[in-house]
Amino acid sequence: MNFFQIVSAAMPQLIKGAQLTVWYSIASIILATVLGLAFALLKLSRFAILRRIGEIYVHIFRGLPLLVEIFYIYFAIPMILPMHKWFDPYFTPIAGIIALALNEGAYITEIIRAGILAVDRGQSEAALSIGMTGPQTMRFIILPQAFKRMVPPLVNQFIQTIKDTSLLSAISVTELTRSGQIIISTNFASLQIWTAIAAVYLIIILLLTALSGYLERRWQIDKR
Amino acid sequence: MINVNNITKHFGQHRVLHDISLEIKPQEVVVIIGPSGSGKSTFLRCLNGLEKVSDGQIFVNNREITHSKTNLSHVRKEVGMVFQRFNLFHHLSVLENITIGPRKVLKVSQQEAEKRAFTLLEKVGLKEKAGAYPDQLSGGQQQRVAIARALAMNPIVMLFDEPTSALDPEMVGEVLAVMKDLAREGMTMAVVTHEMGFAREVGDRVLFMDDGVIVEENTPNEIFNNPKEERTKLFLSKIL
Repeated sequence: MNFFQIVSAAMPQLIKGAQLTVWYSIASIILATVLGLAFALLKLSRFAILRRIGEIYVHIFRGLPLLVEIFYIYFAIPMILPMHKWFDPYFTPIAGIIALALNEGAYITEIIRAGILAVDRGQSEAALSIGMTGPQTMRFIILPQAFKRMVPPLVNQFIQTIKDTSLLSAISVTELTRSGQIIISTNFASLQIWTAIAAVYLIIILLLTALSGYLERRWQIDKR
Repeated sequence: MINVNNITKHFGQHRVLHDISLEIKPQEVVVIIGPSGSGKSTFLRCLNGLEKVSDGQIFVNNREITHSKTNLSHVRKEVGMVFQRFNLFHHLSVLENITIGPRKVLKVSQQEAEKRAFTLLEKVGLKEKAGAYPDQLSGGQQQRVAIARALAMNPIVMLFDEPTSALDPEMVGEVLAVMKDLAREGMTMAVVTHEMGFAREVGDRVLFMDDGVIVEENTPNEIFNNPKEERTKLFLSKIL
């Protein structure tokens, strides 16, 4: 069998794996962004205790290897909390998505915080001066401006998230990487299959990059 | 309208304002002059609570804004502020800059807010710029939009913090003209400025501040032609 025959025979299974990779990525990116926004606002709070909570979150989840976090949530926590029973049979995807989201969320916290801090103080002063409350100022004035600036680093982090889903193969999620490993264990065609896997990852990330390029143009990021 | 009783402000050890008292009456135009670093901008920013005082009281329309329980956003609705660097909202069009306050804070309908915004834009001579974004405007135009944005809230008093200091010289006139119109219509105003011509022509009262205190306070005529204090004389001799 030549290269193309091997790859096309494996394609249906690889595409299934790629679909899982995409779904895991989307779910954990959404959850990570929610976490990132929440903890960024905590870190910017005027209350020391809330700031401290945000700092601890970032410190822990940015400070540990992602694989350790995945194992901790998947293997360690069920030893004291029978989560795997509560969420059966969905525990594996839930644990995987939560582990990824907690980790990426720590990085996104810092991206969002930096984006908010980069908005000129005069903007919030002007908003407060027309009688807006703090939350209104954040929502209508600061975040829309901060968000435009956050797009490039956020896309970076989203790409990282997509690639990091490959670590979920370690808890037997049959995403793209794990699908490939299974195929190779039967046909031993390492070169061909890993090449195909690499190509699929690059295509997924190319699509995301194209989407972000489109959004940047639409929001005219470099105009301001 | 505004009553300031013995306010003091420190930044750490540094004394910025020391025992300042002032009353601004309805329809009065008070102009604050003084060297940079004299505390005049800080003083103005205390009047709408952008800066907290260390001691003393400020009343706006009989509401004590220095009280910790006072909801500052309620007070700020009634106190317009114009900044040296305009601070227009960069992500909003000129029209949206003017309507966002009335819509989100006063809960006025979009239609009504836009109608009023166009009236104000006409007043500041920028009706045709309604759809433009702040970065497409000159400094003078931006500052006129900023004035319209503040006026859209129907304030009872307007604070101007060096409104022409960041402008190219040829644009100072257009902003001052709008401010003169406002004064003529009876708006209560407190203006920090280096424009002595404006102070002379429009001010009802001029305060000279230096080193965190009000050194001298009088009518423009007296301050400029017959200053009593040495520090006032020295300052005026440098700038006039």
